[in-house]
Amino acid sequence: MANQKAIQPWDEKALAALNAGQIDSALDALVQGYQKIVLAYCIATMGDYALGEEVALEVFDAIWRALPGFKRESSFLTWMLAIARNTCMKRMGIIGRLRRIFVYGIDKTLVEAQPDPSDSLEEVVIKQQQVERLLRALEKLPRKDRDLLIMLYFEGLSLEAIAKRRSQGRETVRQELLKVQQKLKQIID
Amino acid sequence: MEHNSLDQYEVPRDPELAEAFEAFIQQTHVPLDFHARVMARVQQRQTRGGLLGWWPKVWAWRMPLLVCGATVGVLLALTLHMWMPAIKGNNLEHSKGGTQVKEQLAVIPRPFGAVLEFLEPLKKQAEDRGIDLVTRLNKEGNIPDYYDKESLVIMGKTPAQFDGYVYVDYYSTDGMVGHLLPNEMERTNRLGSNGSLAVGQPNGPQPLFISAQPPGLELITVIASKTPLFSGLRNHEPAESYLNELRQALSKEGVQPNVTATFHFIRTNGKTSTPYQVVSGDTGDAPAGLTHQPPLPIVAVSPPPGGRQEEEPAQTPPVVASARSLPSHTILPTAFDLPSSAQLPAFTPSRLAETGPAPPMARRTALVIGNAAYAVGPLQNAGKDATDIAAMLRRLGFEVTLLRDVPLPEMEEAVKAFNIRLHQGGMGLFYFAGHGVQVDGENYLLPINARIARQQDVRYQALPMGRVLGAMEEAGNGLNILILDACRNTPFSRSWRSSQAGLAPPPTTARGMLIAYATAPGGRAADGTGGENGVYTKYLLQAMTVPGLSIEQVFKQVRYRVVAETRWKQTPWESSSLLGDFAFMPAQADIVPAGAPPYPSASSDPETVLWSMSERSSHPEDVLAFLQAYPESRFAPAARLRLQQLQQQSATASNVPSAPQPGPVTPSRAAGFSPSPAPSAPPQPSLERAVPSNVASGNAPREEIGRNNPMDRPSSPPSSEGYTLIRRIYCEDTESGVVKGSKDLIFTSFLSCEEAKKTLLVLEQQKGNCSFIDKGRESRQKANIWIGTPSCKIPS
Repeated sequence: MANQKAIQPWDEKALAALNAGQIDSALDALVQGYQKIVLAYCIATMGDYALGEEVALEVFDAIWRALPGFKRESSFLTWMLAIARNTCMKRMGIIGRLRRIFVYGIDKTLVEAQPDPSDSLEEVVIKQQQVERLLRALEKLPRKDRDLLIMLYFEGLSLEAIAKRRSQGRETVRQELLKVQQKLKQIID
Repeated sequence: MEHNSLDQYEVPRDPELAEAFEAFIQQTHVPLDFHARVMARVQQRQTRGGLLGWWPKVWAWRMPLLVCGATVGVLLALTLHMWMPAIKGNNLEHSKGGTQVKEQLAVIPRPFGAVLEFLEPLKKQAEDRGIDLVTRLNKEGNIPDYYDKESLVIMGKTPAQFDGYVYVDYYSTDGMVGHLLPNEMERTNRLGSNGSLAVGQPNGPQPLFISAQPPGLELITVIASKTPLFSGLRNHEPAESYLNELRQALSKEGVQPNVTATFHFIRTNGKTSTPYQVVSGDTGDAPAGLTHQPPLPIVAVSPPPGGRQEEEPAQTPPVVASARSLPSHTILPTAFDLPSSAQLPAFTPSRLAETGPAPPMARRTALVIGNAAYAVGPLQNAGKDATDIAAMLRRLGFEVTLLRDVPLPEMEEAVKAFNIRLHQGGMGLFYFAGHGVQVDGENYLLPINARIARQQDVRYQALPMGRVLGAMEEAGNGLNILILDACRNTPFSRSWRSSQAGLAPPPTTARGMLIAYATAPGGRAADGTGGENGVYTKYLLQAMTVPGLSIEQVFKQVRYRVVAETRWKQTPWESSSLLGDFAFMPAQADIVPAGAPPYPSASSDPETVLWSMSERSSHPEDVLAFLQAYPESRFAPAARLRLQQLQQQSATASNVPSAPQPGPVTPSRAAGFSPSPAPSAPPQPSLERAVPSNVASGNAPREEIGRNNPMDRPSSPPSSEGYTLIRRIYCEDTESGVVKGSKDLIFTSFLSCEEAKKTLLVLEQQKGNCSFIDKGRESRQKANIWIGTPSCKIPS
């Protein structure tokens, strides 16, 4: 998972632009730096590539609107993923109960997967297989379990934060996390 | 706002899952225009901002109205969402000129590109002459989505004053073409002027249904000609060969002005059209009205009003075509997982007749057994397979012992005698066609008199494969080949609940051995129809005669062909521990002089062995593989030179005119490959090109690409589907030829060739660095293949 604490060059660029009141430039830097993770987050949450991409556009839209109010109390990534979560939830709120994961959406994600230029082909293939297995397994998990994993692995939230978000005790969340991860691994294997 | 705190390290993160999620983020493909779209959206919002400034002032008193509006909006959104896949499929793919181009939505896999290449001009010419053929499908849209079990109807009308013959073809993504009209059952394809065409009407007696698994883009073409294009009827066949013949037919004098054509793309989807999919326990039920398996795909052509009927009397009821004449959609996993027949080097006619007896080479000994006349479960073709293989091996210089329909004692004796003969040196080949079974991981070849009631009987009534392997291995020769076309449906297996289907994988201890199965372990092989060879042997016989084709390539070619024909029902499989190189029919350049060691010794260093193999190979990719593996080798300069020569020869060969040219026989020509289509066919652009991926040399890969790029010719107007580039990278084991990993990494569709070029340049920077799949075993990146519509000139 991306290190959310490390300051990235685009963070600095965005911050500088924000301080100068150049919201568009700040957004530009953030899109360049975080488009992949935001897109991945949206795809994983929405369970569909096309829908995820659509929501990711909305997320950046929301980020642009919220940028002037960015309080600099957390990293850009944490903040952006929180916005992404809210945007996804809003969208899921409308269609969540009716819509299910479309396998073809995930297929498309896999097919379109882009290799990291620094990877050897072997690594690319292995990673893609890894991703494929992960997504197939995620599909089989209930929505709340998936959310838990996304909070843990995408957002990098702490136990405290997850517990607060779910209005549950830390130990309960801890146990749930262990259970869900075990479940996911079993499905993957 | 939630923050990460120090106690995040208490979270029980699983390292493997963390890695998988990390990989997911890394692998997520960001569309090239994503950034631009975000910024454009923001800009758009900025311009609208002023108009929306008054909203807060009126918010309070308009609240109830807005709530009502929002409710309606949500309902509308829901309704729209239900139809979202279809809407997306249509709009995004065809929003020409806009920036909302979706990638991978208009992939044109072969042979579609090749079809459009000549069909589009034909269509345009016909339109110019006012004889355009108007056809439509029962679904709207440029590329309508068809879901599993949905009805497909092709309707149309022939132009006025155009009496002609109509040909409706269905090109599926696996490179095959099915003839919807005419076919063996429906011979009437003659339509009169303004004659109406209706293929697959659901309310008619012969509806046509989609059985789309897996989803894919498919092409329907309709060609009307005033004169018949083909003399006879055609069966389901590879598109490549059909296209060649179609081109020939259309190139005849006077034909083209009297031909009109049109085409439709459809996308088949495995799921039903309802968006409310149930993930768990998804039964894949068809939409209402199609709750049962639809009837077999059948085709009906209504008689033309006023049109003449050919061959059939007017009162003849519509003819039913069997499903066999139509393309089956239970096809390959993806359109690109398997190279289409167009991608494979063509099997050339045997050159044995012209070359005479095989040149002197190392001693070759073969034992061929064909058991067909089993009392239980007789086989139709095993005997013929064995006879044909034996004959072919004799022509290839083997000393062959052929046994047909033999009992166990004779099989055992033959193996003993084979062992004795192998002791005289050279290489050995054992071929068995018949029933084979596995019991507890051991494979047994069934003699003709096997009386097997229980599983235990096998041990005593059948010949263990291990005994044959032992006989070959014990002789101590460096090269042994064991071919088992033996996992045909066994009549005995039904009663063995504990036994597994097919054959077991071979032992891993055999050295200098290549073991080839007609089908993968556990799978079953097709026996074929009477009077023909089995599928596996049929292609094996063809591939063996290609000069210069290494043994691994032979079996790889066979595998491709068999898989393509059987649609993955049968996947030939090999296991190899060969160190050296072997070709059934060596190319002239490959013939090893007398006295020279026939195979590189195991003691040679891998670099020398690989160079020795690459140097003698007539395939550029072999040399390329060497350069990839040893870019700093002392042989590297020579390898680059050899690569250059081979590529030039390949380029020359692709430009060879129709008649054979005198002159020196280049390795590629000697090898019998025909990069261009059959001599008699008009030039057919190949849609593939190999991109050397990782040559660490002064040879600029792009330069090499351009030199032999069949797409290098003036750009023609964009096709209706834009330009598609597909990057496929696959790793192949050098020893066994088995593809260890394959992935089509990029599918991109562009509206203009310029866009395609730009992206290609970016992607070129991301060339895969295919190292080795297994640390201990050499693998190589076979090629990066770029596939594009031929009219899009790729930068060189």
